[in-house]
Amino acid sequence: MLKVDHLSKKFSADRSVEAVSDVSLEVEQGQFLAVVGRSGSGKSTLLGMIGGINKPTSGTILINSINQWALNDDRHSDFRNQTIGFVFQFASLLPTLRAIDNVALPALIGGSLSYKEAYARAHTLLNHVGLSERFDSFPGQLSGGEQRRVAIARALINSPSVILADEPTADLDQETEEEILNLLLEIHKAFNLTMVVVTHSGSIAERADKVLRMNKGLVESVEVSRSETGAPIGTALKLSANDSEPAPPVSAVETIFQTSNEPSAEEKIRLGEGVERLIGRYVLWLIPILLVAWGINAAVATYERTVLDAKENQRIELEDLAMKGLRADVKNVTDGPGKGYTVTLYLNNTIGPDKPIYVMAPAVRGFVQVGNSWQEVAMKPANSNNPKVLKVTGNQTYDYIIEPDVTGYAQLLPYYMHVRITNDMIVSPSDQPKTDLIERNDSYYVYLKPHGLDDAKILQKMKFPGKPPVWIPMPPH
Amino acid sequence: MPEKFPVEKLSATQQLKYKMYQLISGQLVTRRDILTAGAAGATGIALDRFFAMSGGKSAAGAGVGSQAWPEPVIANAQKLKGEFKTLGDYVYLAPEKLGGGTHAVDFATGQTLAWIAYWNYGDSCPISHHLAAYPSPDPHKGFEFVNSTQGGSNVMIYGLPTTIQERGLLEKWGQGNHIYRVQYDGSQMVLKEDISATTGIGLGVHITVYPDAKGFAAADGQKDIAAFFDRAGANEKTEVLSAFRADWIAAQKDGPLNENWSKGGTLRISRLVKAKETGRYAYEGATGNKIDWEMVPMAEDLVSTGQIPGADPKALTGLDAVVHHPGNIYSALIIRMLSTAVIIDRRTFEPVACLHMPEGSDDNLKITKVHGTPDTWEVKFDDIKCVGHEAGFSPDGKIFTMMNNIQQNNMAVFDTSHADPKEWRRFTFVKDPNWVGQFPSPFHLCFSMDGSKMFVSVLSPKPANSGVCVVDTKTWRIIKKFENVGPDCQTMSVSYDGKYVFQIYSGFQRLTSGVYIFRQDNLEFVGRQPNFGGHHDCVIIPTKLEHLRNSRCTTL
Repeated sequence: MLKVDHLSKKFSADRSVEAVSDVSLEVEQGQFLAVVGRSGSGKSTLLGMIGGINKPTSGTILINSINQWALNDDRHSDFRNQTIGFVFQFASLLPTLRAIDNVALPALIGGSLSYKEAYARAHTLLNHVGLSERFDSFPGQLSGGEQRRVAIARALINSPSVILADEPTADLDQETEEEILNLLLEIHKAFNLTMVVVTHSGSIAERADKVLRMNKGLVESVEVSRSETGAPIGTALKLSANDSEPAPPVSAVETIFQTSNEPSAEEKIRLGEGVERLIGRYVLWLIPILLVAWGINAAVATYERTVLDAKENQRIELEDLAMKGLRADVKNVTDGPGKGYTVTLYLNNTIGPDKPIYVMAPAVRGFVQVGNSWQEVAMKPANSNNPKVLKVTGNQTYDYIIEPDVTGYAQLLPYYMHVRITNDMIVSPSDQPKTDLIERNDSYYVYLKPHGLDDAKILQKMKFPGKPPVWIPMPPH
Repeated sequence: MPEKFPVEKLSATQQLKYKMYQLISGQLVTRRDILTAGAAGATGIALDRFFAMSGGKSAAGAGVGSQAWPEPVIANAQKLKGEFKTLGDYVYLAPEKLGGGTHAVDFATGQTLAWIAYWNYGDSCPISHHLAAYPSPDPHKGFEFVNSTQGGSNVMIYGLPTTIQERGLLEKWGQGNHIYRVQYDGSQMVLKEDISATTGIGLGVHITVYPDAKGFAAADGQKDIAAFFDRAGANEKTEVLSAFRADWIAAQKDGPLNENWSKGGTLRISRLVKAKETGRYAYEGATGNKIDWEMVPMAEDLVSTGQIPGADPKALTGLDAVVHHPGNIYSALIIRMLSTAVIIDRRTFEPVACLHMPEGSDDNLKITKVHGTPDTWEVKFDDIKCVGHEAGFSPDGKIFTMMNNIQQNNMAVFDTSHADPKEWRRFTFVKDPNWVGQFPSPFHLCFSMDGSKMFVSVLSPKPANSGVCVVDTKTWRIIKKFENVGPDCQTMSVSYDGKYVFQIYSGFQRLTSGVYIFRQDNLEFVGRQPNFGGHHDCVIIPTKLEHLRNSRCTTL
């Protein structure tokens, strides 16, 4: 089953240190090999090479006739996962996983079993290593011996052909050491496993089928030291297989699996017994996260609302400023210069002189009604040097010249022109506005008396308390 | 899905834990379930597309007209319940001014109940202006109202590039000043009478129903005429009970125009008489106009600058409205150019007192009858310190108030609790530090149902929004202001259940319009309702006679 041929391992850059030197051995299916020797004799190095962890410098290792070191990395990993079970000097369990999780993990990683199968088998194995009531415990809740049992169950999860154990009882007290040893032997027998154990323990070696004694990397002797009757069966285990009979060549775990009437581990998980822990470990700490998220969301919403409110308030204040704070209309219209009329517009800051209102580039245009529409006429500031931005602190006037040189204008009032003056203003409380500005569009309507027309002619059709006025404003209505 | 575990044997708490675990671990709804459902849906869509692409009806389309598929859902819109919150079982009327008609809005349903357009009856320039409604116990079954209209040159003052005059639409039937009596018969509005045609008196401004609902008064500041009408029966025509004309005789006739009123003069009130030949008055259409267009707010200034054309502006008094004392004996002729109210005893239809509003002026002037044929009365004014505008009586009749505009910009408040109007005295003014100059200025008013508050619309010049202020009638101090309500806030109404105030805003005829609503009691804003047209009035139809004390009867 296991054949090692002229195996050597050298370390250091020049390979001057030979940890294992020309070792050859054979272990049959179901045999128990103990490797003994002083520290530094090359026991663990040999075990590492057999287990596919340390690559030999020379020589070959065949397990089930397969040279694992000739495989590519992926296949080598699969081989190691499926064929070899390791029990290390220390239990090396993952502390954040439960015992059953630790056991099931190699099967889940290797993909050899489904989730359900892996947990069922893990549960069975834990049952058989005497931890049926502790499958749900975390490593920190287990004793050293119990951790070792979990490690042994973990080594068996993939139904390996060979178990490699490196000082499996190194840090245990004598009583526990005996328990673990008995457990390993029971498993070895029950599952007909090939087992290689590196040990300092004489009691282990006494129970092995073979004892390989090493010294300074060399095989000092190979002894057959174990009787066929074997050691007494430990009381902690309740194996169903008869230790006096050779185990079938197929996986013993499968046999056990078939005969088990225990509920599966997954079914036990579904009992809801883990809900409290689930809540405690996940949901409860989700609450502060959700609260923080809610708080952030609320803060962002408040901030956005504040920004929107501020913008809306700014808009309202600007609208108030432009529409109420600033009054504008035609104050007067007089004849001239020339054929034109001087239109005096007023801009009145009703807020007060200490809060000036800035009016940017007032665009004043004139129109005369012709038919049903407005025809634009020339209109320009009387003073071309007017500033582009008007600072309005009180009631200020600005003159514009309109030249309504239009024939055929509509006469809503006899002889008078119907005139529309538009005034488009950008209004701001600042002389250099950024976002604090608003547009105001005014229309003022007046009637204009045409030049050169005899007042008497007008008065024949309309009556006024005096002479016909040059202009007639439309009331703000 | 069969349970593997005897859940039913667990305690309720354990069962809950178990279900929670199933939910969290996705065992209640598995991915397989979702995939199965998704696959079914995708198959359905694919089949539908397949049938559509192959020219056949899709699975959805195949149901049309087929018994294999359900018929369309029929929703009876009348039975559906929406989110609309009723404002009470009231109907309000809103004249649309340049819109040429009036519509009734049902507050209970949010619908327009009915409407009328005077164009349809041959009025070629109907500017639907003001109105008042008679009480109706159930307005949904019927009501009656009186609606004044303008016309003629009034259409020329809005900046419209119109050719309405060239097209001859301002001739006889477009001169305006019609007074329409309209009934709602439970299904539609019916024009019952053009009272100006019946009586020969055409007036285009304020309409106010008497407190006993047995008639109404109308006035017009262009003509300086106010008339009192009876209420016509079912098959009768309206008759004039009495009509008055006001004229101003300036103390300095030949002085500067702006001193025509300020330097004082004589107000002459004369009773109009019918022509013997026709039995009618002769003031239809534009006949009798002293100025060519209406006395719009603050137009008093334009009169004094000579910029309003007309036959006789210097004689203008601005007799623009009549309001009635809730005691149903006295009515007040509202004279704007003089900021004066001439009190008429409706039992005799004779002037009995003259209340003068401006601060610093005598408050109750002597009125003297100077002729008997026709009846003529005169009041002497030493000066006119400011012009006036709207006015009204409190619902208990103990208060009369009227706006002093432009020069003073406040509201004079009179104690009218004495039985004799000659003893009515001005005792305070409502003022606001912002009421300086022409604008903003108090404009229209009404009282809460309990009389504890007076609501005043405050006009700002376009394009600014106008507002509303609330005056406590014990202290006559302003206790709340609603600013930026809307452009051109006009005549207000209160709901007769004491809940709401309705401020209609008209938007200077072509801008924003709507109704701003707030509560009478706690003065909290309720909401807005859209409303078509450039309104000058908003009258809730009274359902009881006593509602007239808070309707278009006592206030404007």
